[in-house]
Amino acid sequence: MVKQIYTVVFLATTLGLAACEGDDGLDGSNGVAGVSGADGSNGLSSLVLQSSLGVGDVNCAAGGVQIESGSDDNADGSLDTAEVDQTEYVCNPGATSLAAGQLLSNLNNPWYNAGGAKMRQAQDVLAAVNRQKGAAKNVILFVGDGMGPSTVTTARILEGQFSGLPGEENTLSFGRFPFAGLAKTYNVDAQTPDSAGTMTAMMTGVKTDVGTIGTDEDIVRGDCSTVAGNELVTAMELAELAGMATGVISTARITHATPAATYARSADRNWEDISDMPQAAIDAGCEDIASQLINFEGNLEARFAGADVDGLEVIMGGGRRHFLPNDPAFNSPDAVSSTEGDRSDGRDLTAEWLALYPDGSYVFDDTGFAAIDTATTPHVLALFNESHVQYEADRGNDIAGEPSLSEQTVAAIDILDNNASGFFLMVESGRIDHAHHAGSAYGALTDTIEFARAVEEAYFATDPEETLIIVTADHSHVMTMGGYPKRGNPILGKVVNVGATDVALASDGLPHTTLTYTNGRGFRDLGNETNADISYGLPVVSGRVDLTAVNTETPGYHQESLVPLSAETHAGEDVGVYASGPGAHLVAGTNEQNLIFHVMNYAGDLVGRAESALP
Amino acid sequence: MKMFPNVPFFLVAIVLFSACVNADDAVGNCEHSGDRLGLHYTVVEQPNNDAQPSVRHLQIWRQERQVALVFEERQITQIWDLVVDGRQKLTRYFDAYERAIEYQPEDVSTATGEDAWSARTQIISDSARSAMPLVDRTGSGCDVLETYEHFDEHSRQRLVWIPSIRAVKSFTSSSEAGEISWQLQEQIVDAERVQGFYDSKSAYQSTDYIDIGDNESDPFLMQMMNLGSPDLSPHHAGH
Repeated sequence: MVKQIYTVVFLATTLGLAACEGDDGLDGSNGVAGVSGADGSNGLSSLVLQSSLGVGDVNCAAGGVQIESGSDDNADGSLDTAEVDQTEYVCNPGATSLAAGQLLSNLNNPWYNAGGAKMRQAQDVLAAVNRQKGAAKNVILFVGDGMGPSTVTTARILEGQFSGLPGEENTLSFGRFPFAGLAKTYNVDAQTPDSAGTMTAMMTGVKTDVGTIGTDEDIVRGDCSTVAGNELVTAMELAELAGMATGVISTARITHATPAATYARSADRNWEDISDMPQAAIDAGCEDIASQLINFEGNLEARFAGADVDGLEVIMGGGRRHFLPNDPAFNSPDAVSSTEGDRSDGRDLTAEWLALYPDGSYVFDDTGFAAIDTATTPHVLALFNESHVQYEADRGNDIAGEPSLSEQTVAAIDILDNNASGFFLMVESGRIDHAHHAGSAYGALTDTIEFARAVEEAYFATDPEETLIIVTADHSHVMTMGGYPKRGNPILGKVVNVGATDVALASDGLPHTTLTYTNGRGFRDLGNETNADISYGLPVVSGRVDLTAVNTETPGYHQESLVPLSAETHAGEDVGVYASGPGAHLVAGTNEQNLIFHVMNYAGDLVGRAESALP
Repeated sequence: MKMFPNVPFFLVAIVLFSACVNADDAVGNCEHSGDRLGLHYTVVEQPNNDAQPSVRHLQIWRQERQVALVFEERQITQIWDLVVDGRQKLTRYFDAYERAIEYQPEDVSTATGEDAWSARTQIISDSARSAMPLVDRTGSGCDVLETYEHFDEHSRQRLVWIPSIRAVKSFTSSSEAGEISWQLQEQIVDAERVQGFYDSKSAYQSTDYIDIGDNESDPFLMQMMNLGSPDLSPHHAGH
């Protein structure tokens, strides 16, 4: 600040006045002038201090001048802070325009231009939002089980790196959807949720307890007697009542929690067939999940008087053992167990299904799947494995072959869109969750990539103007992406810092990977093993391991974990919700997970259409 | 359970040496083929010192393409299924808890094929037995007993084999470390009794190995998984 000081001096004089008595006489002659009195002392100097203010100053945003004035009390010739009596500001006028040259570096940068283009695109998308209730003829809900934010981010990087790109700039298919939001996943009784309660929330609009299917929070887990009176209606059932075609696909057992929540009610997610149920529950009349799947049509018609529905058109997944009796005579040709079936009631649900749908197709392997005529087949029941379907990375090890999730999705849509009233489809990638539980980022990410492929296939197989597609997760996991790896560093690899070529060493002198788990069974080096579940039989490895000679990018590498636990856990953080089509804009914001039902219901007018269809 | 220190139990590695391969006698029309039976063994391990011998009991139950191995002292039963593609599927039963863990074939990295299966169902694999010289054959028809012996400077093995049911009657292995011997105590050929054994296990509550991560609230699984119980490992043969 340049200071300019001006000094002004004042002279002070003192005058005295005296009082007189009687009449005034004539003025005498002037006397002789007296001697001048002594000069009075000097007064205080007044000082003014002027300082320039830069752009951004709190008093003058565009800069200006600060003027301070006061008396020089200590007569030192400078205006000290304590001597300032008054401060004034003369501010510069604000800038009203920028010269092009001032923004040249921005304007010439591809990041800047890409962002600008994205903004324009976003404006167009907003302008084209379809707010009309019931504008979605079709609704597809994709659920990546356990596909939390870190999984999405790292899967897109891995997908990009598989294509030879650095990876970070890549976008998974649903990342290109115009609208996204966050969902709070907690269950009514759990901060960190499970799949049963979360999927019930998405399918019914009602949050509920951990481990329960299709019932509200008044349920007592494991107590059959508490089901009655607490049953909820699912979006799948509403669609069915509305006359839409309906389908459910999962890479888990089709009786597992997530798919089960689309069609069943159960006091316990583990009651997949009658042999899993306690006798008390059987005696009390509760029906196992597999039976409810087969009896979907009849059960729905029994609940809604006058309803006339045609059942689920598409059912694809694993879990064949829950549909067959525990008798070797019922084994499938590709059975891995001597007695494939688990059912203790002697029922063959696959036969019951065929009796209900004699024109339907029951398939259990790749060959059967390929033979499905999607143009004419009215109903399909596909059970590809005794238990869960293979991990995508491990799919080649199935005896009789299994179609991929994306292949199943395309086939399902081809069947469902034969219905002029539209369709409701739920597709789950159920084993992202399993891979995380086993501590395998490779397994989780490769399943996520295939999941994204299925979403892309669905998008291009449908009309986006009349199809609402929602992609989300039921809950997250505790895999983290950390360190400061340089751009393009292998996402499954060890951290190499920006500008470096050698791996970064932690405080303990050991290398570390970008991906780690907060808890779980910890480090595994299983080489090219593609089945993540091998991990469970090996001892828990807590903490750090010397990874110097370890290839952490192999399918069989399981990341280190901090807290040793029997299995890696779910995480309670919010998950992403991505949407395209009519009503997609409604997922924006941070919402309770059960809002997803309301978005689907609004866009598809499911309740309204169901009511209209009922007599 | 180990035959020798550091030697896997079910692939009894009788020392490789040149010998002619002995073909089984034709057992033809014996009443019991060995596909459906139970075998109870006593296994005595005597070290070459003053230590007390250890005695263990093993049951083998066969049923077509299934074999159960009951480790009585550990209260653990392994039931192996022979899959159509030659792989083996394991279900492990924890008898004290009446609970079971079911593994998929890909969870268990084991040898495949008929020879590997023979080791599982017979204690000794066909190839290992064939590598031992046949030194004696007694009896006739379904009562034939075959004796195989092997000697080298470090050890001696003697196997008495029942070809009609493809089972070990006795097996003794002696070395500088000591002696281990297997003795067949009981042979059960009653098909109903065999079926009853398998039926008793099928009543256990079973959980997929894969689903362990979704069952953290299960006290049994938590107990078994904590710190990597070896019995939970698909690679642990219950030794």
